[in-house]
Amino acid sequence: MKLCRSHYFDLEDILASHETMPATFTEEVKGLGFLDPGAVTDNITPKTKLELPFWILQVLLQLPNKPVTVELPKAFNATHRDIFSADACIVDFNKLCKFFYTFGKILARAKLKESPEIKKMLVETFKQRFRYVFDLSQNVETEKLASDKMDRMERELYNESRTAQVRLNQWMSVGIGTIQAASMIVNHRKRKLTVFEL
Amino acid sequence: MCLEEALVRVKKYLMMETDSSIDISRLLRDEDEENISDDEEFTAPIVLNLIENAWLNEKLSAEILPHKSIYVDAMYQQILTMEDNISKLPSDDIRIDIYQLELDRIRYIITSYLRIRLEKIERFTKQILQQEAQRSVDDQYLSFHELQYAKSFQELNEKHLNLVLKKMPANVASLSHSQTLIRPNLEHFVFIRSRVSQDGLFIPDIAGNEEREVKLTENSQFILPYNSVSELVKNNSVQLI
Amino acid sequence: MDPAEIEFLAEKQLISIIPKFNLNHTIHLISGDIGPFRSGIPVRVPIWLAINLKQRQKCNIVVPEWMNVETLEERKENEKQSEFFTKMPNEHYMEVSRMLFETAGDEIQKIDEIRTVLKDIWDLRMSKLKASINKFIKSDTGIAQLDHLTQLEINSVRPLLPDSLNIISSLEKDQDSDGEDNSQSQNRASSSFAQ
Repeated sequence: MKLCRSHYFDLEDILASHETMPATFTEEVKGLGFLDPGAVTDNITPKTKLELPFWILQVLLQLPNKPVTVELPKAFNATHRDIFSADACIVDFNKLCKFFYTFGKILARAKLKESPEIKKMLVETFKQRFRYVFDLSQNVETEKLASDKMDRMERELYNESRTAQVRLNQWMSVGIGTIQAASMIVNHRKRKLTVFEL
Repeated sequence: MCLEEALVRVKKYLMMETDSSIDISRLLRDEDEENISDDEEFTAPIVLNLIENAWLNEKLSAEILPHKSIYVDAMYQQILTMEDNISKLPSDDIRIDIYQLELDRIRYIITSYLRIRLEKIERFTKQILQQEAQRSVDDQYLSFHELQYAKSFQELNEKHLNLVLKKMPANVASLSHSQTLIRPNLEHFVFIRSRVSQDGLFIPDIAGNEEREVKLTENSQFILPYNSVSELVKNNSVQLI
Repeated sequence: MDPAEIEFLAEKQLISIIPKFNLNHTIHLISGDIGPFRSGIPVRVPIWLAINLKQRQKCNIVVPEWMNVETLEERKENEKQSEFFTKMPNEHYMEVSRMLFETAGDEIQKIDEIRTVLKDIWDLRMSKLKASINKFIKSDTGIAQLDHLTQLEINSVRPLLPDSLNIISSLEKDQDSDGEDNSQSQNRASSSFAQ
C-alpha cells in the first residue's frame, strides 16, 4: 500500500472526491446549466435539486453568496449511520459508496456539523469489518473475488493480503528457486548490440 | 586496482579525516592476511552485517535513511578484490564456486539496497532535496551520487511537467510548491526489534491521544508507529524487521 | 517482504556438514573464514553453502539438534500451555527446516513426523497471532509487544496488519499531522477556479 501522504496527484483522493451529494440551489447560478439535465436555459434556477460531485460543491460553497445548501450523501446520513453501528458487516459498499472510507475521511475533515460523528462511524465500521476482510484474504482456496461487499480501500487491502498469503503458501509447499535476475536485465546487453548494428 | 589505490579512493570519498574506529586497510583485507580479531575494528563480516541491517531498515521504512556509502563502497572494493582473486585460481578449483556464490549474495543485497533508495528518491524527490539542503555536511542522508541523481531527476521532471502545464488553460498553467510536494507517511506502523534497553519511549494510542510509556529491553519486539522510533532506527538502537 | 528474502537471511546461519572432499586451505569468505575441509570431519559452514554442496553431492548435512521429534513435541506442548509466544529453538525454524527437508530429506530420520510437528507448531502460533490481531485492532492501543515471534511469522501478517493500523490511525486524525487543514481536494478546487 502506498506509504506516502495524501497529495495533489493522489488518484484515490481525486476519485473519492467525485462522490456525489444532494444539493439544493438557493440562488440562480449563471453558466452552469449544463449540470442540470432538466435545465431550460444556460443557468441553474433557484430551488433546483441536483446530485452533484463533492468537488464541484466545494467550489460553489466557497463563493461569497453561497448559492447551494448540501445534505449528507445517502451512505453517511443518520439512517445509515445507525445501520453501521448495528451490523456493519452486511453492508454492500460496492453498491452503496465505492469510496466509502476515503470520501468519508474528506467529509470528516470538512468541518461539517456531523463530522465528528462521521469520523467515529468510519473507525467503528472499519474495525467491525476488519475481521471479515482478514478471514476472506486468508482463505486462498476459493477463487479471488471479482466483486464483493467491500469498498475500494478494503478491496485493496484484501488483494494485497491475499497475494502475500498465496506467496507464503507457495513457498511453504514448494519452496522458491534462486532469486533470478529479471530477463529484461539478462537480455539488456543483447538488445543494445542489435541497435548498434543497425 | 591495488590496495593503495583503493584506500586512497575511499579516503578521498569520505572527504574528511578517517574516523579512527574504521580501519580502512582492514576493510580491504587481502587473501593472505591472517584472521584478525573483531573487537572495535570494522572487519568485513561486520561491515556486511551492517549493510544487511541497513538493507532491511531501508526496505521497511517509508522515508529515506542516512546513507551507508562508506560501507557499501568498502564492500564493493572487497568484491572487486575477491573477483580478482578468483580469476587467479585454477579453473577447476572448488573454491571458485564457493566464492562466486557468496559474491552473488552480497551483490544482491547491495543492488537491492541501492535500488530501494533510488525508488524513494524518485518518489519523494522534492522533499528529499529540501530536507537535505538543511542538513549539515556530516549529516547527509544522500550519497554524493544519489544527490546528483536526485537533482537531475528533479530537473527533468519539472521540465517535463512544465511542458504539459503550458498547454493548460491559464489559471491552471502552473502548480504551487505544496501541490507538487509528495511526502512519505511517517506514522506508518512498523515491526521493530530492540538492541538496547531503554525507558522513556512514549507511544500515543491510535487516536493520537493519551501516550503511554514503553520500556524497551534487549531483543524485545513491537509493532508501533514509525515516527516514534525513527531516531532509534537511525542510530541503530532498534532494527526494523 | 517476500518469504524468499527471509529465507535468504536465514541461510546465513551456520550448520555442520561432513564434507566428502579434502581442501587444505582456509576459505576467507567475506562473511567469515571456513575450512579447511577434511573428508569425514565435521565443519561449520553457512546454510547457503551447505545446501549447495549437498546438492552437488559433496557433503552430508548434520541435522541440527533441535530438529528431532521429542524436542519439538515438547516445544509444541509449551506453546499450547503458554498464553504468549514461546521462544523457538531457532529464529528461522520454518525456513531452515523447509530447506533441509528439500535437500537433505534422506538424512533426516522420522522426517514425516518432524514435518507434522513443525506444521502443528506453526499452525498453533499462527492462530494465536490471528486471535491477538483481532483483539488488537478492536482496541485503541497504538502499540503491541510481540516477543519471540520469528521474522517469517511477522511477515505473514504483512501488509494486512500494519496497513489496517495505518488506515485506522489516518481515519482518527482530524487533519494531516503537521496542521495542514486543507484537504487536497481543497487544494485542487482553489487552483482550478482561482479568478
